[in-house]
Amino acid sequence: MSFFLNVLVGGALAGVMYALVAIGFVLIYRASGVFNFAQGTMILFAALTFANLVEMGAPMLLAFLVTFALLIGSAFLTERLVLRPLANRSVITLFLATLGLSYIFEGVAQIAWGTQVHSLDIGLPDEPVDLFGLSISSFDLAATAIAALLVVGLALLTGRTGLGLALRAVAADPLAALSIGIRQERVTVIAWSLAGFVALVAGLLWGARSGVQFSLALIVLKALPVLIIGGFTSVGGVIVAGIVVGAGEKLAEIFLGPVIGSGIENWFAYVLALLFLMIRPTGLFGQRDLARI
Amino acid sequence: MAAILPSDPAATQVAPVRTGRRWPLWLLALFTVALLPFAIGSDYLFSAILVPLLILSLAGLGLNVLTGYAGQLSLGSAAFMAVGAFATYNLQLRLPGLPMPLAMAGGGIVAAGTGLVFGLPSLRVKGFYLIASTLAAQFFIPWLLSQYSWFSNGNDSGVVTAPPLKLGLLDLDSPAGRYALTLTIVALVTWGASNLVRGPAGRAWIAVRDMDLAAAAIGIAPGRAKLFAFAVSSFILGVAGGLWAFTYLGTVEPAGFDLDRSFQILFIVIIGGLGSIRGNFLGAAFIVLLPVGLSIAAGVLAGSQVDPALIENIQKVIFGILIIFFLIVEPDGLTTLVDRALRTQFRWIGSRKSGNQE
Amino acid sequence: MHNSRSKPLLLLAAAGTLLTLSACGKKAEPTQEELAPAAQGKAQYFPLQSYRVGPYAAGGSGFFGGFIDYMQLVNARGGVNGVPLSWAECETEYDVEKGVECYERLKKSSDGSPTAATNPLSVGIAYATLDRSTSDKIPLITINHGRTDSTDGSIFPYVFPLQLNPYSEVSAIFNFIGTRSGGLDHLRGKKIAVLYHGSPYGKETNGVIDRLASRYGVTVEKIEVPHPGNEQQSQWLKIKQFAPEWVILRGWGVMNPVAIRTARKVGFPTDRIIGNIWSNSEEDVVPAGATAKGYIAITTHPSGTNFPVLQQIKAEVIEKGKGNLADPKRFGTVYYNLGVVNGILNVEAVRVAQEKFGHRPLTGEEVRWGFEHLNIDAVRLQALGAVGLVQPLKLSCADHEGGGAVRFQQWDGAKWSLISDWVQADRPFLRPIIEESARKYAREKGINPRNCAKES
Repeated sequence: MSFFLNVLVGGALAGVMYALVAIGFVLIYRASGVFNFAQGTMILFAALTFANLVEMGAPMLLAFLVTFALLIGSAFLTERLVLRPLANRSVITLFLATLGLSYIFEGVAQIAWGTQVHSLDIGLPDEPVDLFGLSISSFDLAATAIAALLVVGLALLTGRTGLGLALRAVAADPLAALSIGIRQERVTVIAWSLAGFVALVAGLLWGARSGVQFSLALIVLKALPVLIIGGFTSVGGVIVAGIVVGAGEKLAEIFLGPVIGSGIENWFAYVLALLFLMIRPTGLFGQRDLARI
Repeated sequence: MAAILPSDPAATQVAPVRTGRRWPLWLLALFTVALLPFAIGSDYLFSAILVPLLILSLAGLGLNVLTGYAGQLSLGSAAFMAVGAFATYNLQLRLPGLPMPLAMAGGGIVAAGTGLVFGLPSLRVKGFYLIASTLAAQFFIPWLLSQYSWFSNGNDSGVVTAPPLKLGLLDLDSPAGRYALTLTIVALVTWGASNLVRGPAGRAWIAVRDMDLAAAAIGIAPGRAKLFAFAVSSFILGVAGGLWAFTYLGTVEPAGFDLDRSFQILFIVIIGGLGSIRGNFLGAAFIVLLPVGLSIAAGVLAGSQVDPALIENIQKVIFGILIIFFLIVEPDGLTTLVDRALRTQFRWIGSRKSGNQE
Repeated sequence: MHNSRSKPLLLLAAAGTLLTLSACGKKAEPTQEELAPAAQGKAQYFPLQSYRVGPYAAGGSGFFGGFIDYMQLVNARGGVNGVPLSWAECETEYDVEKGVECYERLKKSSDGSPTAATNPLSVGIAYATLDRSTSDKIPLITINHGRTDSTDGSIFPYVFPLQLNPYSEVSAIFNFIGTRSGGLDHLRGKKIAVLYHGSPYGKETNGVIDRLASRYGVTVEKIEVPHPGNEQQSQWLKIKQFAPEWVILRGWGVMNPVAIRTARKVGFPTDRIIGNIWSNSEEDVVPAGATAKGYIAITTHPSGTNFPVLQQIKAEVIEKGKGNLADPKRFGTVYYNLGVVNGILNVEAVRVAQEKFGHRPLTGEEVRWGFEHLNIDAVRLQALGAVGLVQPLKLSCADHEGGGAVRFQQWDGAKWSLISDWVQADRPFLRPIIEESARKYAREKGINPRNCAKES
C-alpha cells in the first residue's frame, strides 16, 4: 500500500512540474488566443541564460532579473514583429508562427550560450524526506510550494489589480476592451512577459532537476495533454490536470507496465487527454464555445 | 480570443480550388522535368534530394486532404507513415512473392484503417482540441511498433532493414531505380487524389471544413465525410511511409516518425498552401531544399574556419524567421504566391480568368 | 486544376534548381578507382557527419574535436607516409535524415581525394547508411557501438564496431559484477536491474542480457526509460521495489544525470550504479552535481591528459591555435579522448593498408583491408604514445570488433579514476549469438557470406 501511495504522491508532485510549464501556455492563450509552442524553447532560453550568468559570477538575484528583462524584451519583439502582423489569422497559422518562433529562440539561445550541458544549483536539495510514512523528495515539495506561490500570485494579479482586469477584459471580448481604451498591444506584451516569468521559474526548477540542456525544450510535449485536459484558459484547471496526468502516468507505468509493456508513459497522458475530451470536449475547466451557422 | 474581429476557429485560409485543365503542354513539361535527373545522373540528387522531396510531397498531400480540404487539424501524420512502413515490411516478409507495389498498397490500407480509428473522435470533438486524438496516435503508435517485436520480426533493437528493392525482374536497387519507383508511385497517388478532391467527395470535405452545421443542413453527412477524409489521408500517408522506408532510408525505425516529422509535414502543407495539390510539392521543395541550401551556402561562404554549431544555429534562426515571414506575407501558401507572381509578372504568357477559378 | 500557362515556367524553375543541385552533389568528377594510381598532391579524405547541435551536442563536439585534433597532429608530422589527411564536416544534428544527406553529399571529396571511411557516431545513421556504404565500398566505423552482428565481417564486410560491441559491453559488466561479488559463481541468486534508453540502441542488448542472466543464475529486471528521460520517478520506484544489488545504466544524453539524481531521490546508493559506454562521460555526471559521487562506469579508454599522444596534440596542435574544441577545458575528457582513439585507429588502418597497397591515398576498399588487418599490440601502442589509452586490438575478416575489453572508472565529484584493470567480455559465449543474428540478416537481404578462411 505504501508503495502505491509513494508512486501516487511522487507522480502528483511531478505533475505539478508539468502544470508549471502549462501555466505559461494558459497566460498566453488567454491574452492572444494563440497556443504558444515556443514556450518550451523560452524555458530553455531562460534556463541557459540564468545558468551562464551565474557561472560567470553574477549573484542569483541579478541573474534572475537580467534574464527576466531579456524575456520582457523578447515579449515586445514578439508582439511587434509576429503577433501584430498576424492578427485575425487562423489558429493554425498563429500556432505555426509560434513554432517558427521556437526555432528562433532555440537558435539564439544556443548561439549566445553554446550547446554544452550546465548543472544548475538553486539551493534546493534533493533528498528523500519522510512524511507520513512516505518517502517524498524534498525538491518536489519545494517545487510544489513555489508553484503554489506562483498560482496565488497570478490569481491575485488577475483578480485584484487593474492590470489583471485588463487581461481578463481582453480575453473576454477584445473589441469591447478596445472600445473602452484598453491598449491591446500593451496587454499582449504584459501577458507574454508574465509567461516568460513563468518560463523562467519552470526553467530553473527543471534545470536544477535534470541539468540545463536542449531537452528542456521537450518538456512542452508533456504540457500539451495537461492543457487539453485542464482547458486552455484556466490556471486552476491546469494544476488539477497536471496532478492527474502526473499521478496517472506513473501509476500506469508501474502497474500496467508489466501487463502491456513498459514505456506507457510515452503516450498515457495523450490517451488520457483524448478520453477526457470525449467526455468533455472543451476540457475540465475550459470555456464552452458556441457554434452558430 | 484576442483577435479584433471574431474569427471562426473552424475556417482556415485556403487556396481557391482550380478545376480547369489543359493537358498537353504542361504534361509534357512535367515529364521533361521528371525525367531530367536521369540525364544528370547524380547519386546525391537522387538519394538525398529528389526521393525525400517526392515522398514528403506525398505525405503533405495526405495531410492536405485531411487538414486542407476537410479542415480536420492533425498532428499525427508521421504515425500513420510509420504504420504504412511497418505494414509494408510485414506484408512483404510474411507473404513472400507479394510484389512490392501491392505490399505498399496493403500498407496504405492498414494505415487507412488506423486513421479511421483515430478519426472517430472527430465526430465529437471539433477545432483545435482535435489535435488530442492525432497526438495520441503520434505517441501511441511508435510505442506499439517498438514494444512488440513481432512488428520488427523479432529484432531486438526494433529496427528493421528493408529487403533489396526488386520489382519482378527489375532490379531497382540503385539510386536511379529508387527514384523511378518513387516517382511512379507518387504520380499515381497524386493523380488519384486530385481526381478525388475535384469530385463529390472533395466538395463534401470543403463544405464540412467551412461550416459543418450548414453542410449537414444541405444533406451532407459530416461524420461520414470526416471519417472518409481520415481514411484517404491515412492511406496516402501510409504509402508515403512505405516509400520512406523502402526507397529512401532503407531502414524502418519508429523513431524516424516522431512528432518532429509530423510538424515538418504540417509545415509543408501550410507553406505550400492548404487545399491545393500542387502546393504540396512546392512546400516539400521549400522544406527539403532550404536547410541543404543554407548548409551549402555556409560551407561555401565560411569554409571550415567557422564553428559548424554556430552555422547550424544561425540556420535555425533563419528558418524560423522565414517561416514567420512566409506566414505573414503569403498566408495562402507558396502556390498562391507563385500563381500571383506569374499572373502579374508574366502577363505576356496569357491572361487568366479572373476571380475564383472553376 | 492547374493553369496551363503557369505550369511551364514552374517546371523551368524546377529544372534549373535540379541542375544547380546536381552540380553541388557532383563536385568530384573522377571516381576513386581512376584516381588512385595517379594521385599526386591529393589527400586521404575523411567525410565527417558530425553533430555539434541538438540534444547530443556535447558528445558530438567532444568526439569530433578529438578526432580532428588527432588528424591535425598527423598532418603536422607529415601525414601518413607523406600522404596528408583531409576532411569535410556536415552537421547531422544526430538526425538520421540529415545523416543520410550528409553522407551522400560528402562521400566524394571536392578535390578527388579518395574516401577512407565514415564515422557518424550514431546508431540510427549507421543503420541508414549501412547498405549505401557497402555498395559504395566505403568502410563504416561504429566505434564502441553499432549493430552487434556487424562484428561478423563475413556478412558485413564494410561495417566495423571497433573495440567494443554492445554485447561485449554488457558481458564485461556482468564479469565485473562477478569479480565484485567474489567470482562469477557467486552471482547466482543475485538481482540486477537494467535501466535502458527507449531507443534501438537501448533495446539492442535485451536479448543477450536475458541469456547472460540465465547463464549465471541472476534475476534481471529490465526497465525502459522513454526518450529523452527527463523524468524517471516511476522507473526508480520500480527499482527500489525490486531491490537489486546492482543497476546497469544504459543511458544516453540527459537520461544519465537524471537517473543518478532520481536514484538519490529514492535512496538507491550511487556506487551500485554502473553506467555503460554511453553513460560514462563528464557531461553525464556533472549536471547531477554532488549526487554523482561514487558512480561507476565502463570505459574503453581513460580520461586524462597524461598520455604521450595527448601531450603531442597539446604541443603541436592546440598550442599552435589549431585546436578544434570550442572550450579548451574539455581537452582530455572522455568524449574527446574517444575521438583521439578513433583517430588513432582510423589512421592506423590507413597505415596498415598503405604497407600493402603503396604509400599513396587509398580507396575505401583498400582501407577496409587495412581495418581488417589492424593488429595493435603493446609495441605499436608504445610507438603511438597511447599505452593505457587504447587497448590491444586485433581485427580480422570474421572479427570486426577486435577487442571487447573495458576498464571501470569511478567519479569522485571532480574527475574519473580507474578502479579496475582490463575486464574482458565473454566473447566465445557471445560469438554464436552474433553469428546467428548475422545469418538471419544475410537471409533477409540475400547476401552471400564471404569465406573468411580463404581471404588473406
